[in-house]
Amino acid sequence: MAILNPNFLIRNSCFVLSIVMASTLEAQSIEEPTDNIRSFINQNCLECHNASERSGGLDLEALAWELDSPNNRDRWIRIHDRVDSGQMPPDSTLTRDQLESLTSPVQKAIVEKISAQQKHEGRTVLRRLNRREFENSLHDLFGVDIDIQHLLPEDGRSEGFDTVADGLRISAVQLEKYLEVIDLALDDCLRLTERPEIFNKRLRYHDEKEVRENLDTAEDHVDPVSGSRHRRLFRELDNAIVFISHGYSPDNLRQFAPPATGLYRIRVSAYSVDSRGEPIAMRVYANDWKSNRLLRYFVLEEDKPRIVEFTSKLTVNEHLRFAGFGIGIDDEGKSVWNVESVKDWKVPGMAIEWIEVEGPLLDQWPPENISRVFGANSVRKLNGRGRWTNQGHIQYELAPDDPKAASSNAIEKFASRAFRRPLKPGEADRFIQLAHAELDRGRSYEQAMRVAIRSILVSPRFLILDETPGRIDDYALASRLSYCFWSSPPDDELLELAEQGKLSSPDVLRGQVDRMLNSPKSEQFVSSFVGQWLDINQIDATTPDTKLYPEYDDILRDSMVSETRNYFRELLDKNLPIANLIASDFAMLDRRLADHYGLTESFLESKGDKHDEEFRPISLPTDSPRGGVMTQAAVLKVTANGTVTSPVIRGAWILRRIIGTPPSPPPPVNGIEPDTRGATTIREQLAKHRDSETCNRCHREIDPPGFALESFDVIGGFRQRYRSVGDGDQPTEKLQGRSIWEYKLGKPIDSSGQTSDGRPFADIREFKQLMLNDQEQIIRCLAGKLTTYATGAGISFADRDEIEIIAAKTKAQGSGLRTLIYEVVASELFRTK
Amino acid sequence: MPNQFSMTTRRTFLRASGVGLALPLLDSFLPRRMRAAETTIPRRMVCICTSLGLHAPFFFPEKAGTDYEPTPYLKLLEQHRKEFTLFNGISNPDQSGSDGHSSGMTWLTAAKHPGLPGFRNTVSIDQLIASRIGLETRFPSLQLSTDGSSQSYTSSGIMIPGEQSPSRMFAKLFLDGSADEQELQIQKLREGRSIMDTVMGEAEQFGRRIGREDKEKLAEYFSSVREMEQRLVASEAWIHKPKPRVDAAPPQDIKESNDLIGQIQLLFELIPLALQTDSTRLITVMIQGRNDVPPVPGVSIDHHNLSHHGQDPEKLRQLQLVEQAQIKALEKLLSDMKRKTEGDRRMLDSTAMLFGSNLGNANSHDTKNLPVLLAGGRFRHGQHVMLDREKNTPLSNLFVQIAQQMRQPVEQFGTSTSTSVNGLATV
Repeated sequence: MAILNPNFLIRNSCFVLSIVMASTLEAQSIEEPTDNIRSFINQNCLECHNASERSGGLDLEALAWELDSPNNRDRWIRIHDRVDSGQMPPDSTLTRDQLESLTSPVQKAIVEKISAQQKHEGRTVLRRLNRREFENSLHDLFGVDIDIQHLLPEDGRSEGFDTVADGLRISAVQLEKYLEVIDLALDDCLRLTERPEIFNKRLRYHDEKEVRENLDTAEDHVDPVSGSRHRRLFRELDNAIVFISHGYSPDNLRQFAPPATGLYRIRVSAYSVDSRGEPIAMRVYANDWKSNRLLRYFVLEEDKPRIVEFTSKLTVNEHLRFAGFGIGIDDEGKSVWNVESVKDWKVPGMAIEWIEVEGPLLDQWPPENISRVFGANSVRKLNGRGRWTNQGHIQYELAPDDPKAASSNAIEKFASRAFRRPLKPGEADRFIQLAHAELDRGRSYEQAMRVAIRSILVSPRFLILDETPGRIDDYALASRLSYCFWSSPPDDELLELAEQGKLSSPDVLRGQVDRMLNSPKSEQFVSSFVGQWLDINQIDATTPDTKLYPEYDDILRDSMVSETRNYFRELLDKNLPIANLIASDFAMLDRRLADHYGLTESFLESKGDKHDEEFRPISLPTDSPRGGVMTQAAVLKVTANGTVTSPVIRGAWILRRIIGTPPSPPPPVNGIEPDTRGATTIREQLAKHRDSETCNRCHREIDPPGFALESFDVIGGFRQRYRSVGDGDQPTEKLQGRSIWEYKLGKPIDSSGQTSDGRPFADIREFKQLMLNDQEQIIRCLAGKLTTYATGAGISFADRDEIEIIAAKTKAQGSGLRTLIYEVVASELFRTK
Repeated sequence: MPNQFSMTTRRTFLRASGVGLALPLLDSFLPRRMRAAETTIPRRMVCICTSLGLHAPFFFPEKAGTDYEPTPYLKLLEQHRKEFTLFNGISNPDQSGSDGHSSGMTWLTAAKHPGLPGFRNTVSIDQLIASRIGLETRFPSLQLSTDGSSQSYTSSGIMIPGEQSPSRMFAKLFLDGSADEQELQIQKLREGRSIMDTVMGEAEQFGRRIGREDKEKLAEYFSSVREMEQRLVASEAWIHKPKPRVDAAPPQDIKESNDLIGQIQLLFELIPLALQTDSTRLITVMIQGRNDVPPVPGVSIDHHNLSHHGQDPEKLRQLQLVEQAQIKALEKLLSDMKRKTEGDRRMLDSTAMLFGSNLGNANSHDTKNLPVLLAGGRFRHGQHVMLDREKNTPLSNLFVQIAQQMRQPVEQFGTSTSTSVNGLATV
């Protein structure tokens, strides 16, 4: 046994000695395991965890007591947790006291070790901005909104989040790319061309050339090349063009080409015709002749023209397209390609009356941001002809009267904004000298400023959050708050409060949390926290099999993602209890999801004055399997692979993300081979797995939550039978008015099971009720995730007490989600490095 | 020249492969350049990873040894049969990670449990070697990719982005810009150096920290700045040398983003050109076909979905078509590498070409028993090396053996347990 091995002790004490000599750390921690630990292990563990058996990969004979090594420490923490929770030793009759003879000295030793280090160094390592924060910071500094993050190397994710210092490494590759993208942002900021023309017109598809040709060609015209008869894909009314093709339509709106990249206001008047009283959807795309970008979608009602208005960024090489969803298939399942004539054909269609486009929407020209970055009065109109560049006709230049003075001034201001705190005297001198040296070489003001700005933005004060051990100062606090809730640099109000030294007072802090969460910028927090915590960012990792899931499309995809964000937002805004993550009597749905979930009736009852594509809380019928996050389509989709579901993956996901008791990584044995031929189900395959005692030890924890979710398919639909491409029965339901030929209905679903401690459940509803028995664990888990995201460091063994306090305070105040966030921000973990 | 590296001590090697501190990455190229006068054919490595796996029954033959019956995929490579070795029972250990595809990050690094808590990626084998060869070539290494990702990771575990555009890569390799563009380029390099100077001073002020990990973080920053400076200096040296001329027209980029095979073919065409001109000696290629339907005749389902075939015969049929198209592209690459000669040798002989995947079975995301094929590089080829399919041989053993065959004094890498793979002999 290594911890008794004399060689080990020598090695270990040398190690400790060197630590003591190398630093001023008070090393009073336990340098060797106590007799209690040794005898407990000898008596209870070595039978399986010895050198030859190595059960679960753990050999306690070889495991050293080196608590300074993070890996080694983690092993001991795992041992502590297994024994503390009673999972180990298996089926033992040991008393609490006996278990504690191991756990309490181990806990004490480890906490001491970590606390000593934290006190000295802080628990958060200096962290750089991740690429999302980098992009937002540049957007903020330059007033631009170009895509930057996707040009940067992907950030590592540590502890599940891209805000954790450990995963945010720095390399020359990173610096090289920073310099590149800063240039791009500067190009976008420096609009020195003529003021762009403003487009402002009402357009009609009647005037679209390809639409005209399609309508003006006779239906009996036969194409001489292909030999096929002409198909009318539209119908012309006086006031509108009706789209009636289920598939392809020449629907590019060529009458509008954006005169410049920028923000445009788009208004459309449209309605549906002959849609059997059902709504249809109008999708608006931006297309650059290569790919489609779905801007928005709107639900249209029959014969009731609806005017929709929105603004969107468009680039010069994009144009608009409008496409209908739920159109073009008649009651007999026929489309425009298999009817004789469309003349008296009754089919659901999308009628577009007109489209108005206005933009680019500009305030001042040249844009105000240029002065903010390069100094007031630095922009001057060029006399005479100007010059041509690939940006267009340059009409302005940066030419202040005294370039050196102007650059000093502008750089001081810019650096202070970039560094998120006031500068000490002389702190900007390096950058100023750099700019002046460029000016002395005869380079222009713009060139000199660009060099200085690039250098400010790759310097550590910008890239790295400046926090020092102990309580962080108010400026560091301002950055922690703003990068947490906005993924952006602090705004003027936060910086002013920091300057006045008020930010760290509890009331002010709480008020700021509210202000930040109520700002639209907090969508950044919702989408990136929820996106990573619940893996929603992985929504496109797989595309559902089109044969098994023909109903899946981009609207459903977007609705899924929005549901989970809207749901979290609802809990946050109304401070609803965290137990709603497990089960709730409402869901946040739009029409598409309500249909997908079979909740159309409930949806229609709550309609009010909202449009179908808008999300709203819907009361769920008492027997509904929905409610909570685990049964939301986005979660069910990201925990499946597009073809089949696996209770193992979903079960492990719930343990990791919701309950917070992550299973050990799987051993290197072959997984289950997915099979969609209909002859065997995943549960039948898994049963074999669970018969083995070695597998069952972990799988009895992992699988049950996954079994409960078995009644949901890979796109989150509720199912009673598996879909199959081989054996099975013809489905009876219809898809958009037609019968389904793509798949068959295979074997029945079994979503029953029993928890590892023997409580049985028949289905997901019962399983959720069992989970609700341990709400504290759910709060604890979420508190840990939020703290990790917000502070940039994982929850160490020594942080557990603090998390416990956060969870307890939250519970005492009604367990609301917003309360939890207040408590996280008020905690020592958030307020110290 | 077996003793080319006798001057390089084991310590300098350890320093270069170390945790990312001190990192004198590029300074090792100076003494070597003096030695470059000795005429020698450089040794190279190309690593190609097709990240959605290869359907094993269509790939691995049943019989071990030299007289195996070719499988559907191997039939396509039959004319090169004597030029490659198949490894059956090789993989990176402990690859269960944050999701089924996370082993794509670690194919060439062998770091364990990608994406799980505590995971840090480590240097990839090509970058370890690149840090030794340095800027003896214009590019220490190249990363080609169908989606912008790559398998090359720096010593701090950061992925080097892969170039997706064949035309951009061609221009980078072979086209000298106009005088104006070159002037701009030189200006940018000079600015870059001033910027690095400035931030180095800035960082020293910022850098007075107490914590060990904080210090490490800043050391990472410092070494990045230093490496960047060195690269800028070296690039400046190269910018005045004209780029090599090649007898090939600049490629036209593929317009359809789903055309995986077309993209692979174009990227593969760059490989012999880059090696032949000694523009680089290390190339990695990432074939990442995720959610698009590749325009291969007979294929209507997206590639990722096909890889999760669930034993559906139709999906297996289509999967085979997509994978065969990739193997055909590999076949052409091998032919090109044989056709090109230097001295009396074929270029294939001096180039170790590794082709394979980080998934042994994509249907179940299994990371064991990876499909791995090695061609060229002065090894004795022509066989199907059957290793233990239960207890796999670490892929790192193969990396070490390849590195040594490239005359690199690498004794250990990743999870290696040996400096060679049983059954693979060198020439």
